[in-house]
Amino acid sequence: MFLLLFFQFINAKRLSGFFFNGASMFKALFVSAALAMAAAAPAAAEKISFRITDSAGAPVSGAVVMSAAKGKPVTGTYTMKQSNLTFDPYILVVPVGAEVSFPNLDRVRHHVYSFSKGNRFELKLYGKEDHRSVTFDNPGIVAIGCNIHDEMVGYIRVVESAAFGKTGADGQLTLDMSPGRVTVWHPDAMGREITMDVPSAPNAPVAVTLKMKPKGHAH
Amino acid sequence: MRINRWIGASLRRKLTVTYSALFGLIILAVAGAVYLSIKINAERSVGRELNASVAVFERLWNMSAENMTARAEVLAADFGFREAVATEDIPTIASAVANVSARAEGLSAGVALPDGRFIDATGESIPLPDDMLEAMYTQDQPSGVVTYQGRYYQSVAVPIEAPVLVGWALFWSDLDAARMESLESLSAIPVRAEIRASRDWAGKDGDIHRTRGFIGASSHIENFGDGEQMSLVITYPMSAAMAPYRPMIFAILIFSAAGMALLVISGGVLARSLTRPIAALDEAVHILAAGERRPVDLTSDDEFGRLAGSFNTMLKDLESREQAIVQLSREDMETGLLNRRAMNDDIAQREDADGPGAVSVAVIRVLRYRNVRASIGHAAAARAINLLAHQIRDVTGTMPYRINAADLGLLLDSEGRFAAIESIRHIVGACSRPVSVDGSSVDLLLCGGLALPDQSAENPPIGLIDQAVFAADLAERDQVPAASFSLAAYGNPASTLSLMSEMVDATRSGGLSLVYQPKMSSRDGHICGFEALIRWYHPTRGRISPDSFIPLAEETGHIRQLTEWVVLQAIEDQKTLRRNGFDLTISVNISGRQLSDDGFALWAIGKVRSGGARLCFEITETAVISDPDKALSIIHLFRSTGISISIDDYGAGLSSLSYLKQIPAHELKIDKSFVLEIENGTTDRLMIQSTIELAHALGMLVVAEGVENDKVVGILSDMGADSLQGYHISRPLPLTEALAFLATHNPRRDIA
Repeated sequence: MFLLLFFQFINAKRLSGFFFNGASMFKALFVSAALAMAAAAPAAAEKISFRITDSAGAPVSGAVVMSAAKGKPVTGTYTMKQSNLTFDPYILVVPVGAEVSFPNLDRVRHHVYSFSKGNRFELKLYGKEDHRSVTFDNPGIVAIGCNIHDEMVGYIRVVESAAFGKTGADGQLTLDMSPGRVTVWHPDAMGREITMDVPSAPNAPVAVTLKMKPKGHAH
Repeated sequence: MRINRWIGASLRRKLTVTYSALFGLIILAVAGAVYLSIKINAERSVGRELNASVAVFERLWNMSAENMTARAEVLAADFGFREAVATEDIPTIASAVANVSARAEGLSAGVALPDGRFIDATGESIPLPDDMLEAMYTQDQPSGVVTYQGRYYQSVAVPIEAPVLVGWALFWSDLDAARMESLESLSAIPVRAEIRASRDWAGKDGDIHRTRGFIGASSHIENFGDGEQMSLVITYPMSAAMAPYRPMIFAILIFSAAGMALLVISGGVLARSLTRPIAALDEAVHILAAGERRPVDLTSDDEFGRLAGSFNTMLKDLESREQAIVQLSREDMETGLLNRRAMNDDIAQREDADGPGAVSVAVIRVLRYRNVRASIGHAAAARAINLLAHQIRDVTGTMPYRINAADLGLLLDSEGRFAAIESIRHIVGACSRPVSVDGSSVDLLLCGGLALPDQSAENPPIGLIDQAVFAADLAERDQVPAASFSLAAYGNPASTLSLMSEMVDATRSGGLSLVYQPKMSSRDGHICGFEALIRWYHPTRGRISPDSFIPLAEETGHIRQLTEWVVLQAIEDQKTLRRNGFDLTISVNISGRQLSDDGFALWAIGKVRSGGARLCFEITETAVISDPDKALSIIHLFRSTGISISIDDYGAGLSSLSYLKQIPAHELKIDKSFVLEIENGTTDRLMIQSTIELAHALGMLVVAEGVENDKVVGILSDMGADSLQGYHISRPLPLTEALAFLATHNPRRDIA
């Protein structure tokens, strides 16, 4: 996880020109993980809503919210489509061990790859007729590209949380989770991911503001 | 300033220097203008070349950047390479960049990782400078100059994305001397290209800038990071820019110098031709000013020639006018005869020719000429003189000069005095007859004077003409037809001073002596006093009268010495008298000058006291008048110290009753001029009588002087005069005779 975070950090660094001390970042993550484990056991699950906006107050879609509490077996199927020379969805969040299929809906072929540590894979040229899937065994951020189409970028967030999800177009998300520590992440947000404690039965949706990179800069 | 004087003293130098300087200035201005335009031209053409070189460089720079960017993009797009970078497979990265470096000549490649590590072809990992890293993060494809360890590089960076950013592919080329040389070789002229910090170059981009012998152009180079702004500077030495024009400048200098030399020479020659006639005229004027007349030798047709002609004409006019003036100055205006000046000139001429003493001068005088002139008028009198002159010429054969209104002068050959006087008598006799003027007859009475050159006289007091005039005066005075000049008659003022010094000598050498004239008491016939009188026997001149040397002594200030001698001698003689048994007051005459001389007064008082003398100072009233206060105070001083005072010569000069009252005198002496007349008139007798009574009333004794006979003695005694003095009683006697005289008149008393 550390390495993935590191990568993400570097990505943010590209915009800010800011150089972080790797040790302090590691310590912060370690602390947050420890707290998450401590808070895991007793609380009963309840519905908690999140509302993620950018600095201008516009809803941020695709923001990933994941609890620090671990658990949750692999259920369901996960798909990362390639259509109109883009990855769809742009952001996908999956539990550790999930198998994600990469159907190609375009008429051209794609060469999908990721060099993200722990989850490296390469799906050499395949077309519409071919079925390809990858199982992600390590938590972290997986940046996905196409060797043929440099503009194609997508992200898969592999988590081991008890509860997780991503915001819709309205920037809203409701999770069935015990109150406690959560982490909010978006690949196009500047700086590190945000970790916060969610109280029990909040009156309103938990509001989180992310500082986003300028539009058009991201691939 | 010395050079100014040197130039200013000569017109020729002034012209030469002025025109040479003017031409020099013009040449300097022209040469300066030419040089300036050449320089501007050269700069402009070199500037164009430099700007072209800068443009070429900018072009090359961009091409190089594009080339490197293209290569970096190819590298960054390679999938295997991207994988190597994403996985930080350092050996693979190193081999990949070594591969592309080898492929691109003159270029080097490397990879920068997001954490700032930099991997080059050797596989070594070094940290990138922060500003480069920041440039890569903030710019899409940064490109520009990088300064690293004192060297310059052109560098580009292209991000490597897989698909997110995993690093940058860097390409660079060395901006070393070889690169600059290759750039320099592209220029048509041998420029120098270099990369410099922009602040080291004062010129702006696109401008031509000159600095310390160089001319240059510059262009800013984009910077990779935020390091110091750099510029490409292309320079060219000014001397090289000017080199093609050097022969032209040299030629201008040569022509200028030659022109200058030509002008100085020709200017000098021209100025000389101009100033030579001026100098000649200048010299002629100077000669004229010095009194000499010399015509200018100058024949030319120009203004100078005409000026010289005028000058020469003027000289001639001047000469004739001068002669006329000289002639006029030698003529007597009234008669047209030659005048005294002409006579003087002629005497000098004769003496120059024949030696001193060559001529004698005769003067023929018209007696009572004033009367003649008053009766017939000036013009007629002058005509009469003219007629007389012609008569004299008829007699002597020479025309006389008119030297005074009534005097005609003649030059005579030196002959004996006798012959000369005879010839003058002859002229006087022959010409003393009436002349006819305007129809009426005028009597002219003549006399003559003669002056002979006296070779024995070392310094004749006056010239020959004046001597002859003086001789005519003598003849006129003595009513004789002719007289000759006599030094004795003329007197000699120059001898006065020597006489005085001889007198002073005489006070020491015994030339002076005192004689004593007795005063006889009218009461008993005894001698009651002596008046001391001075006598001077000159070894060569014999007796000299006191009337001649005492006034001189008063005038020349020697009177005090003389008086002192008299006082001392009188004191001595009184002692002698006392030794012989006679104690008489001796009177001494004191000049008025001594009555204003404190020094004399104190001296005299001292001598009288120390000598125990009994003296009487005889003074005149007039001696008191000039400074009465002073004189009276001194008189009182004498009185208070026992010196008697006697008023001398009373009645001879101005007599003032007020002074008579103020002078504290013991005695009054009636002047002999009264006494001599006493027998003849009753008026004098009355005056003497009243004077005696007045004196007695004022408490004074009366002495009558000039007693010549017994009758007078009787009269004066009757009138009450206290004592008598005069030749009848005794003439002034030398001391020994005075003693003998006393012995017969006075009873000897023992004084001791």
